[in-house]
This record gives sequence, structure tokens and C-alpha cells, in this order.
Amino acid sequence: MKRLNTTLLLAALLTGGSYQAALATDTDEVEAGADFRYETAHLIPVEIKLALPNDNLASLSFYSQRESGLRLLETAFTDPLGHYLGQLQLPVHLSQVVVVVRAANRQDTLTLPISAGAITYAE
Amino acid sequence: MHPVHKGFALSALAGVFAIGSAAMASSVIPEPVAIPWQSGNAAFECQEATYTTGVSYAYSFKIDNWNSAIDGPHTATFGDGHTNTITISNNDGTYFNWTALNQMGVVIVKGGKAASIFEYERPVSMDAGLVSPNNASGKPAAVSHATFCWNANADAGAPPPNLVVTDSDSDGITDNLDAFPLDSERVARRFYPNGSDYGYLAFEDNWPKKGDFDMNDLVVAYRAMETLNARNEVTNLKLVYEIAARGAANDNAFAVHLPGVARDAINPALTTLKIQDQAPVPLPTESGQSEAVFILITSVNTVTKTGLKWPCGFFNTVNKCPRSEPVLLVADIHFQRPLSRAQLGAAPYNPFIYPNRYAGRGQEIHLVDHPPTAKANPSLFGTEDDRSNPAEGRYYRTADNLPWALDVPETWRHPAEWNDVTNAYSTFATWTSSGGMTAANWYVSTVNQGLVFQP
Repeated sequence: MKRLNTTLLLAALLTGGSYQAALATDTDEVEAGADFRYETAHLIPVEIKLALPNDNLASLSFYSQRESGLRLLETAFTDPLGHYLGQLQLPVHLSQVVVVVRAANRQDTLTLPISAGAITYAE
Repeated sequence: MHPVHKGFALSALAGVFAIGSAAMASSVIPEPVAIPWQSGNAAFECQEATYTTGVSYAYSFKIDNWNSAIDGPHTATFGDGHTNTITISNNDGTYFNWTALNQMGVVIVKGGKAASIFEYERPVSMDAGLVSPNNASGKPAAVSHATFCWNANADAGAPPPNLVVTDSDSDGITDNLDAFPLDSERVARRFYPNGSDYGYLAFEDNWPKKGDFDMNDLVVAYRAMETLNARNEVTNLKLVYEIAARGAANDNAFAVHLPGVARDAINPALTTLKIQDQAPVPLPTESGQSEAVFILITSVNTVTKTGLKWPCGFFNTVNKCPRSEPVLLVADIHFQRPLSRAQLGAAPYNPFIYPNRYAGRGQEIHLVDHPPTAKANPSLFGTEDDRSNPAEGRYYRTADNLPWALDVPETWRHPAEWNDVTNAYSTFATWTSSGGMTAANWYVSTVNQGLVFQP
């Protein structure tokens, strides 16, 4: 029984090892450039200008849009003139964000595309 | 989330409310925010929810000990004479529907170690398909309790123009918008990859030799939560990790480095580490470093021991073996003074592993071009298959620019044992060879289900 187990283990190791070696060539054949950093996220500049009553600021809740719904990224605030200037860290495959605007007299939802590497909106 | 939820809630809104604004593109019910949850009484939980939602509620009601008998009306009465009746229906232990006489602002659904927070843009009187967060298997955990939060006579429309708002903590953010209305040092939160999901860190552990590229020697799910003050500075950082898989026989440590953040910028009295259900313990910065480095786990094998024979001694990498619950780590890092985004850097910061063996501390393995810490052994750079060149800022690359670690910003299924990531994800090679210009979503598309681990 012990010999059988040893044989089976050896066979399994050899099989697994050769399988591993065969597959390892696949990533080995990938051609990556020296400047490719495998980055899956980037910081996107965001500028939003809202028309708000004087001395009122608004909260901006940024969401990523998925097939199953929205995912909260962060909440930030405009200045009292309704101006927000900041950055969002986003996975590189996203093409838009959803922004829920909350202020004393207002609650809106904006869908803003990432265009030319930035998110901008003005009223 | 159960697909019925969004449609039901949206139709309820559409039928009741007319939300008008030239700027508005659509009406949206946000997906629930899933966060680790500290259970308490109803008032405590509604207060805890305000950290995420930013809205305070006068009334709260908790339905505990969730079971099949929960279906039916539940009446809440309060000392000021206010009452509300909440009726639960279609409860199957995982999903449920509710209606209420007084409209709700937030419903918290607790299951497993986390809670889903359903925040309604406008208070609503019913919803369907509420569900707790996914557990390790990727399926919703059984509901343990639900807490309802509301204000009396909730107005379906926007607040009246003459609404008087206060700023109790005088931080410049009015209470109705402040996630921390009684804390002048905190106003909001920032998440990565988002408030509900995890990103994944995947390591090969043979550095400086190449591995087999199954990228599962250690797989750690992560979510970063930065708490912000009114100046958009980070006051504290909560890092939630789940050790999802270990396909290594070698024992490794898992750590995170905050590049550019001085060790003395950390508040040691408030910085803690919580492992699984254990009480939080102090999390010191690593000695002998000028920058902040936190050793989160010194022996991954110890916390991921399966007790099974080969190959089932691996932890969640072999499909024919029993599944194991991931190991939860929560690092709550507080700073002496708030840090700007530029000072702190971006998630996932600089995670790394090293072998848990004699003289192994210097053998750090990081994401591509992420700097080693001061305790890395520089004599290892450029040896074996590694072609790091510190003078050029080039780290943890082979001669062909292949990595030892990946950061995936989405829910991800790692390759099963002995399966190359290039085969498991058909467009990984396209993404890599194009320098990231195409197939940027390689991790959510073209997955070969037969080659990835099935939770």
C-alpha cells in the first residue's frame, strides 16, 4: 500500500510538473514593453461646476456603473460657489461615472463620461 | 444583488415622485454599500449608517433573530407617540421584501461579517429583493437581522427652500451632508475599488526565480476606505483584506508599505489590526524603517491551514478540494495629522510578501515597479530571473518584463492550481503586449471557467 501511494504521488508530481512547465511557456511568450507597469487603475482629473444658490455647497457622491447597479467610490464637496476640482482613482476599464448631487434644495443624478482622460461638467 | 430589487424600487419611485432638474439624467437607486459591520441596537446601527450615507435619522427599528417567522407586520412605538408598522414578506432567509407606513431612508441588512446599506435617494414606503452582502463563496450570506432608519412624515420631494440646516461640528459641512455631523475632523469617505466590492492582489512567490504564473501563491482580496476631512485630507485609512487563496507550500508573510509616509506620521495609540472575529490589537509599524510598514500576517500558512493532505493542503486553489472560508484582516490606520492624497498615495499602496523563514525578510516581492522597503536585500536584485534596476526605478520584472504580482480592481477568480493566468484569461496576453492600450478589462472578460478556481 505504501509503495502504491509513493508511486501515485510520484506520477502525480511528474504529471503536474510537466503540465506546469507546458503552460508556463504561455506567459513566457507574452511580449511586454519595458514601460508597461501592469497598472489597472489611474487618477482621473475631475472638474464640476454647479449652479448653486450663494453660500451653499453640495456633496458629490461618485459611483461606478456596473450591470448590476452602482458602486460608491467616494463623496466630496464643492466650494460655496458650486465648484469642485479633484481626482478620482478609477479602474482603467471604466468609461463613465455616475454622480449624485446633494444640496440643501437639490438632489440630482448625473452620468458623466471620461473624455480625453478627464471628467468635466458645468452648468 | 437580486435583480428584482432595482426594478422594483425604481418603479416605486417613478410612480410616486416627480424629480425635476435640468441637470438630472436619470433616477438612480444606489447599489447597497457593503461594509464590515459592528452590530448594535437600532439607534447605534442607524448612527453607524450615517457614516456612509451622511444623513441622520430620528427613528430606528431592528428586527433581530431573522428566521422564517419574521414575515408579517412589526410595529415600532416611540416615547414621543410616533409609530410605524413595517411588514416583511417573501422572506426566504436570504432575500426579503418590505413595506412601511412611514417611509424609510435607509435599511441595513446584516449577514455574515458585513452589512448591506440600502440608501434611498428619496424615502420610500416599500422595496423588494433586499439581500445581505456576499460571503466568501460569492453568494449572499444568510440574513441575521435588518435595521430600518427613518424620519417622521418623510417628505418625498426635495427639502423646502427655506430649510434651516445646521453645522453642529462647525467644520463647514452642514449636518445634512456631513457623514460625521458631530466630528469636525471627518466629513466623508473614499473607497477603492468601491464601497461594495473587493480588488484582488495576486502573487507568485518564487522571486527572484520565475514561477508558474498561476498567480495564486497568495491571493488577497482588498478594499481601502479613506476617511476625509473638510479639506479632502485623509484622517484615517481602513484596509480590509481577505486572504482568499494560498497555492504555495512555502510559508509567506503579507505586509503593506505606505511609500513616502514617515513612520512617525502614524498614530500608534489608535492603529489596530483585527483578524477574523478576534478583538482588535495594536498594529505597530515595523521597526528599522523610516517609512510606515505594517506586517499584517507573518505566517500565511498558519492562518490558512486546511489540515488536509496534498493537494488539498493548498487553500482554495484546487477545484476538487473542499472550500475554506477566507481569512479576514482589517487594518485601521490613523495618522498623527491628516495627509493629502499626494502624501498618502493611492490604493492598494505598496503591498508585498516575503518568505517566513530565516533570513527571508529581505526577499520582498512587490507589484511591478513598486519600490522595496528599507529591509529588502538589494543584493538579490538582478539575480536569477529578476532584472530589477533600482537606479532606473525598475523593480520586480523579468528580462521580458513579466511580473511577480498583479493588482486586479474587480471581483476576480484566480487561476486554479497549475493553470497559467494567460490561459485562464484569454486577453491577458493582449493587454500585456499592447502596453495596456487594449483589453483593459481582461480580468472580467474572456475567462476560461475551466481553468479558474470556482468558489
